[in-house]
Amino acid sequence: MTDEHITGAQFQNTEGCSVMHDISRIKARTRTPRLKGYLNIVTGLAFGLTLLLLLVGQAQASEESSGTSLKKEVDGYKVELVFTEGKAQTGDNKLKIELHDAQDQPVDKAKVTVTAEMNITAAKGTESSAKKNTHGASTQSPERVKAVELKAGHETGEYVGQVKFHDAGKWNIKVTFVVQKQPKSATFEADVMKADASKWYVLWGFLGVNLAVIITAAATRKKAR
Amino acid sequence: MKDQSVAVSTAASGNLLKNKFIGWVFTSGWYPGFFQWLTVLVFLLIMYLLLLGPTSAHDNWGTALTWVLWWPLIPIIFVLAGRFWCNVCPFGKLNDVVQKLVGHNRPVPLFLKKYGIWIIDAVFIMITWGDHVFGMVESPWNSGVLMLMIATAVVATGVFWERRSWCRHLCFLGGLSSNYSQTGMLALRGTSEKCAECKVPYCYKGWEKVPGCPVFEYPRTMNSNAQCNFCGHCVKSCPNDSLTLKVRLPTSELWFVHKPQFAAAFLAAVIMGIVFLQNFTMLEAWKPMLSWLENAFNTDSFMVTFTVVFLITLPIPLALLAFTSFVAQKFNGDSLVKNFTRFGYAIIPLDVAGHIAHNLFHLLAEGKAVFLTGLAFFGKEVPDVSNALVDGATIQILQYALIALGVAGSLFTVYRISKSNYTGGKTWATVIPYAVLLILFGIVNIALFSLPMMMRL
Repeated sequence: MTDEHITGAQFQNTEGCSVMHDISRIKARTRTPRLKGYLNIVTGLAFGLTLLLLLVGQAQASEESSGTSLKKEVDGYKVELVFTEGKAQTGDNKLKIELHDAQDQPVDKAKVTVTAEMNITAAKGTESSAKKNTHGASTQSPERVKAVELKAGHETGEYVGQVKFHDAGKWNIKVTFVVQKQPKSATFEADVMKADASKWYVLWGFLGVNLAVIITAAATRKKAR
Repeated sequence: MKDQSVAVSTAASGNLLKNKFIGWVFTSGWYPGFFQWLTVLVFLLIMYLLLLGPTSAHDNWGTALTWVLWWPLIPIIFVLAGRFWCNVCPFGKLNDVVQKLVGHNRPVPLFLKKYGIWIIDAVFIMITWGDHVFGMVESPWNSGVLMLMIATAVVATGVFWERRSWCRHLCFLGGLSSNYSQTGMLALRGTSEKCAECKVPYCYKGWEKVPGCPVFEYPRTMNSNAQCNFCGHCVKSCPNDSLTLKVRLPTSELWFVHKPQFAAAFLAAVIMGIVFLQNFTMLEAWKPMLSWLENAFNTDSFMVTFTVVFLITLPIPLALLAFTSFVAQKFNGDSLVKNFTRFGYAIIPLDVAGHIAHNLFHLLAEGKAVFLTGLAFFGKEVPDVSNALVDGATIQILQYALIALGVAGSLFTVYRISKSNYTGGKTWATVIPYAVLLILFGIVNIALFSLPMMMRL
C-alpha cells in the first residue's frame, strides 16, 4: 500500500478525514515554478556528482584489482613477479611468482624465496629508510624484508606469498629459486607507493559530495518550505 | 474473500504485542533508536576496517563481519523477522538523520513510485556483475567504496524526498527483502473492526510525537509484509490499540498476493539466476571453464568472459518461467504475462532457500574467520587453525535439506495460488508445468551444491 493508493475514496466513509490531505503534497504543488526548477537542478547536480564519483570509484576499483607485473630472464628461466592487488604499496602486498623454463614450460616444485631491500641511492627523502650523516652518507642499514618462502599457487609454476614494505620508495626485490639443486636469483626494482594516498582523495571526494548535498539542501530548505 | 479469511486464520498464534516484553519494546521511546544506533556504531567500525584496515580480505575483520557473517544471516533474518533489518539498517538511520537536519520532505516523484522496482532490479543485476568484475567481496577497499556509494545515494535522496524513499523505492537490498519477507513468519496488521471506526490516520501520517510510517504503508489496509519493517511507529501512534503482531506460516503471504507485480516476479526469477551464477563461479570447475572461454573468445579480459557467462546464465530462469507460463496459459486461459506475474512469486521460497544454502557455505566453512580476524584486530595472536565451523559433509547435508524445504515451499505456493485463482481441472493443469519447473530448479541447485566449492576469504 503506497501513499498514492490512499486515495480520497478510502476516506470518504470516514468522517473528519479532510486532514488526510497530504500537506507536503499541497506545499509541493503551491511552490513557485522557479523554485521547483531550482530544486530540480540541485537534485540533478547532486545525482550527477554521485554518478561521477561512482565512475571514479569504479576506475579506482578496476585499477586496484588489475595487478602489476615485472619480468626477468635468468639462465633461460623466465621469472615474472606479479603484485596481485595492484601496484606495490606500503603495508602488506600479495605477490605471485611465475616460473617458466627455456621451453616455456612451468617450473613445478621449486623452492622460491623472496627478500627485499630498500634502494638507498634511489630513496630520496625517505628519512626513515636510511638516516644520513651531515655529509649525506648513510649511517644506518637500509630497510629490509626478511626472506619469505612462497607456497605453490593454484596453477603449476605459480608461487604465492606476502611481503610487507614499511616505506615508500624504490625497493630491490630479490627472488631466489632452487631448481635441480641449483640456486638462481633475479632482482627486480619496484616502486613502492605510499599506501592510502590515492585512497584519501576518494574518501575526501565522497565526504565533499555528501557535504555539498547537505549544505545545498540546508540552504534551500527554508525557501522550499 | 474466502481465501483471505483462510490467510488470516493461518496466523496461528495470538497477538505478540500483548506479550509484556514485546509490547514494552514496541511502545518504548528507545525503540527502534537503540538498535539503530547500535548498528550505526558497528557500521562505522566496519567502514573504518574496509577503507583503512588490512588490504587483504583474508585479514580484514570488516570483510569477515560483512561478507561472512552479515550477508549470510540477512536472508535468515528476512524469514524469521521480515524486514526488521531495514528498520535498524545504518543507511536508513543516515537517511533519517539528514532528513531531520536538512530534509525538504518533498513527495516521491511519480516515476520512482512507478518504476522504482525496475531500478532496483537493474541495480541488483549491476551490483552482482560488478561484484565479479571488480572484486567487491574480495577487496575490502572495493567493498568500502560500494558502501560509500550507497551512503551518498541515501543522502541525496534523503535530503530531498520524504520519509524513507530510498528504502521503499531504490534500495537494491530493499527489493530483495521485499520479496523474501513475504515468506516471513511475522505479520503486522491493523484490526479491521477497530480501523473501520477510526477517524484519525496517525498510523500513516504520524503526529507531533511519533513520525508516520517511514515506508508509506497504511496499516488499516495493509495486507502484505513486503514493506513493513516493524519500526513500531504505528503501534505507538494508534489511539485504538488496533495493531497486532502475529506469527504466521512461512510463505503463507505468497498464497494470496492481491496485486502481483510483474517486476517482483521478474526479480524472483533473476534471483534464481544469480544463485545459479554465484554457485557456478565458486565451483572448482569455474577456472578451467574460464580458460576455455578465454581461448574461445580470444581474449584475456575477465570482464569480457564473465559478461558472456553472466548474459547467458541470468536469463535462463526468466526464459524457463516464461516458457512454463506459455504452457500454463494453454490450460488456464490467462495470458502469458498474467501467469508469469502470478506464479513468479512461487519461486521466492526456493530463492530464499538457495540464497541461504549458498551463504551457509560461507558462514559455516569460513565462520571462524570472524573471530580470528577480530582477534588480530585487537592485537592478539591468531592461532593457525581452519576457518571452518563444521565439516563440508555437514554443510552439504544442510544445503540439500534447505533446497528440499525450498522446493516444498514453492510447490505448495504454486498449488495455493492455483487453487485460489482456478477451479476444477484448471487448478492441477496449471500446477503441473510450474511444479516441473520448480523441481528442475531444485535439481540444478542440488547438483551445484554437490560439487566442490572455493572459499570467499
